[in-house]
Amino acid sequence: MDNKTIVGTIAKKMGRESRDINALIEGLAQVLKERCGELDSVAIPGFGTFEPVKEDEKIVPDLVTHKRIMMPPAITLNFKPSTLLRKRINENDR
Amino acid sequence: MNHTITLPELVKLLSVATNSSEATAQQFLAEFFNTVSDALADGKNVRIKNIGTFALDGLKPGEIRFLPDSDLAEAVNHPFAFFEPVELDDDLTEEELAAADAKPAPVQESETEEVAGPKTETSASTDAAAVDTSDEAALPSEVEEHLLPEGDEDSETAQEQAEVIEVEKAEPSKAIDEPSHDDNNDSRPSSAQKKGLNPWLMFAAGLLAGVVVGYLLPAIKDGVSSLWMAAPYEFVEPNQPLLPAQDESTIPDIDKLEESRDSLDHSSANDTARQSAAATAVKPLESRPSSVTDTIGRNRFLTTMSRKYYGRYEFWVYIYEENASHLGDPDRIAPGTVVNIPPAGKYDINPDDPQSLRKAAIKAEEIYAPYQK
Repeated sequence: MDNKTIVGTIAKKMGRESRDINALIEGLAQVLKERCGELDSVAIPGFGTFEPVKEDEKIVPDLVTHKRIMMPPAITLNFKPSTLLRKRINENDR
Repeated sequence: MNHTITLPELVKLLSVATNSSEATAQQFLAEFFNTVSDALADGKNVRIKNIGTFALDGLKPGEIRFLPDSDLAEAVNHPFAFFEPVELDDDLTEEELAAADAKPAPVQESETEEVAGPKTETSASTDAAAVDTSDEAALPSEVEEHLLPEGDEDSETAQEQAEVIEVEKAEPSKAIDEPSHDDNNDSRPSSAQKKGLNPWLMFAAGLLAGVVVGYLLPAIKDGVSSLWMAAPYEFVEPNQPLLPAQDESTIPDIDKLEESRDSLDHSSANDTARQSAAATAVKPLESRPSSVTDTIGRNRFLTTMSRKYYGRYEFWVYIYEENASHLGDPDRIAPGTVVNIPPAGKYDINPDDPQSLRKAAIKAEEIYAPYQK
């Protein structure tokens, strides 16, 4: 499902224009950027949790040159689905 | 830091960010996450602009892979945005890496406080206190090193404040030694430079060696080949007696040979000596002793000798002919067999003359003829 469909669906449900929904999605993205950038997690009940995870630096071999590469540490944004969402997905799989 | 934002908090933050009412924000969030959940439950992947993509993991049922939008990922990773992957030197051992990791560990606490300082000057003490309990302390010291240069006077004041806090906490100050911290900072680039220089030095040394070898090799080769090629013409002092089959009394004296060069009408008692003297008189190349012996070896054949004494391998036939009585098949001469090397003049050997080469080729056919049947 692409962005346009999602926006259209939400706009229809809320009875608002797509432009407003786009602005709200942009606002949500901004909040996620700010909070997750500060290493805060964002928990949505029934959906899941966005949590920034720090990965330590690591040494990996370069497959082409066979030299060792020191990969820098990084913070990645992970999403952990809630149990409810997992259950729904599993039920639908069956 | 490491605080979990709940839905009510998110509603407030969203309403502030979008200048909308909390009711609208709440309704939007509910509809938004319901829609995404429904799509995922239906087995569809969902892509949302500015947020990212939620994809179902085909391998693990119920698992969702979230790929954040590039802007979002960068914003989250901004503390480490300075770093890039670094190729390690081959000579860098695990021990050195472990030692490098272990060194900055004691100063981490003070450094993290320094990082926290410039952000909020007034609440530096509270930030620093918060940092102590957070995982931020686990961040590698390189982050602080990158951040430190950006901090100006504020960072220094924050540093002082951090030191005051440390004193208040009455923690052992051995580890938090400011001069040693500076030393670490100073020494690290120099060691990096040192490590960076090594490959260049090695490259330069390799280049130098290449140039030297490049110059010397042709010279050595020329020297060897000139010696090799000059051998038949400049063969001067044979250490073996000439014509060993003959009696010593019959061997011409060198002085006599020298005289014979001056006067062609030299008459000697021995015919062989006369012949060789005549040959030396006619050809300056053969002015020296006219016949020598050589020994067949595992890697020394008639052709090798011919090349050595006459300059071309084709003239092996004359060496063979000279020693035909005890050689047999030219391809099956036993190593250790001693052969006489006839003087070049005896068979009109001239490596520069095509006629001489042709004669030698014909001679070779004649020699091989009986053995090819």
